[in-house]
Amino acid sequence: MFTDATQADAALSRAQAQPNLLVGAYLAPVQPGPTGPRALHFREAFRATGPSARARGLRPHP
Amino acid sequence: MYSYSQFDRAFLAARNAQFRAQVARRISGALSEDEFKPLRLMNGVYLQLHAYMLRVAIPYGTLNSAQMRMLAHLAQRWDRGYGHFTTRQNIQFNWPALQDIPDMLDALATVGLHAIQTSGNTIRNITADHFAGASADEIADPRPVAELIRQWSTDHPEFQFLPRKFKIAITGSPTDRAVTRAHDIGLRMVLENGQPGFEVVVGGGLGRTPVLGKVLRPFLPQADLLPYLEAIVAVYNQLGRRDNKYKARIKITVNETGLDTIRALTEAEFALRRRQFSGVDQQALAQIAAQFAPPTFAQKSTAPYDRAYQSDPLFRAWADTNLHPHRAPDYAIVTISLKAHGQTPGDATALQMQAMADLAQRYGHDELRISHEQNVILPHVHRGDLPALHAKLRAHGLATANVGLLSDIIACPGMDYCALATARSIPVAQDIALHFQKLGLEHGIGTLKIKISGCINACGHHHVGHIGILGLDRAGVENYQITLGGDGSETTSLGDRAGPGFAAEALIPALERLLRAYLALRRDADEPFLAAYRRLGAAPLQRGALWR
Repeated sequence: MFTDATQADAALSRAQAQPNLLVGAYLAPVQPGPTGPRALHFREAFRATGPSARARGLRPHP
Repeated sequence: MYSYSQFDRAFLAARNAQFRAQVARRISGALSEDEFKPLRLMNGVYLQLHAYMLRVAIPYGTLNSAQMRMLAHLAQRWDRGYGHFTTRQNIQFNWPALQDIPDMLDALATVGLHAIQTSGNTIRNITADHFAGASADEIADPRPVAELIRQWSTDHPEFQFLPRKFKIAITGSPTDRAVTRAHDIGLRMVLENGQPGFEVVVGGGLGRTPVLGKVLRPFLPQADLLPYLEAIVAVYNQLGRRDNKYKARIKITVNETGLDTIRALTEAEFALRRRQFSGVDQQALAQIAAQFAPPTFAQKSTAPYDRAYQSDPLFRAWADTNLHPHRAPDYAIVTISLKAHGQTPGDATALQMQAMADLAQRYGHDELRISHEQNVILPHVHRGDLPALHAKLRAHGLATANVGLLSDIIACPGMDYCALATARSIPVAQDIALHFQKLGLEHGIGTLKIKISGCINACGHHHVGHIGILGLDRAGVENYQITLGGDGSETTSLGDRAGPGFAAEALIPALERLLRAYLALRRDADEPFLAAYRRLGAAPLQRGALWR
């Protein structure tokens, strides 16, 4: 998590300079939370935690 | 069903070996993701929100039990124990590790399946009526022609770099279960002087610019089909825009060029190409057709069905919704709902896939179909076997009696999986199904097709839903736009936008008010939602629902 835009841009540049290791790096707004950064947009929240549908998804069959 | 020839097997083995080598280069770092992207897309591998995704083609939605078992095997061994059947009659595996994908493709090849042309600007998997070869209302089984088109379009050298993707749907029935007017080319079998041919519809599509296809030829003799298709795609390849991907589909080409001009160009091209075919395609079609001979239907008593229908309410409810008339009077077409209330529409576990394969082998002449409505079909089941089949489906959580009803919802993967999505679809479908199950209104409402897309690309076909729901991102918040009156059948229509969208928490209460208004305003219990909408228009329903 970066609070300084210059530092964030530099980190993004470092990530983007490693195309064989990192794919589609981008910056996303977050807020500090009790268990770490919390994404402010729902898209990044799902990327961080996985599909929201799975918890209520397939019902185990007998 | 079509069985792969030695040529098919050799082609697929070579193709898989080539891709295995490219995957190795990507894993070693010799290729960047950008360099790898066109190679993976040619083999059905996408990069989604969380992981790579492998999309496997199910040609015209037809599988045998060995193929379904293999899909179960892939889910179990290389994915997370489930697969997702899509609105394109395909299956997607959402969690494969890249290094495993070559092994998955080799495993698929052993049963005659692949992932070629499930992505990219090529002719995609041919989709068809999921009741093909079984339905009582059919002129003829369209699948031999679909297989001919598959063979013609696979690796077609002229059409590997089209302006945009290209989708063809085919039906052999006047009842359109393949949404033919929403495809780049729709083929609808018709008879002229007793001879089968096709009404050729062109330039349909949903997405950000929904357009219903227009009739290019009211009757095309079946023998002319391939050269005529080739002429259409060649004209599109020459004229289709390449400056803007959002203007590149043939629907835009047709609208910008004019249908009459497209027709004239196609006919001119057809005249040239027709000579080149010299009947080889018709010889191939005859060989293919022999492999689609109907099964030998059993002659036995239907009494078990009659007894169960009278004595078992659960069986009767299921039979009333999930069976469709078969052309053999003692048989039925069974739709296995993958829409248990609260379930992800179209998902099946590996165990469920294995169970469906076993049941197809035991009761269904070894055939299964995948519908674009994300259900699985057993096309040939003797009525006498239906009670036993139903009991086994129940044991596997596959006997939900809701086909064609409110909870039989089409939903794209949405933002739970898809990198293009702007909002979620699956949880919306889950919540709607559970909400109306709790209210107990579903069977009273009757036939209702709800279709949900998580972005304007419309993979969930929301434009042709009786109620369509489009998920959007409005200033960082999920918002849902409703359309009313869409129809994907032979009476196709695009839905009308019903006012501003709803926040996620307001959507289901709005749907409930809308459907209660429909119940109050419908002529009688036999007037379905779509018919009431067409009779009344949007305003009374929306007023009744205190929509705004």
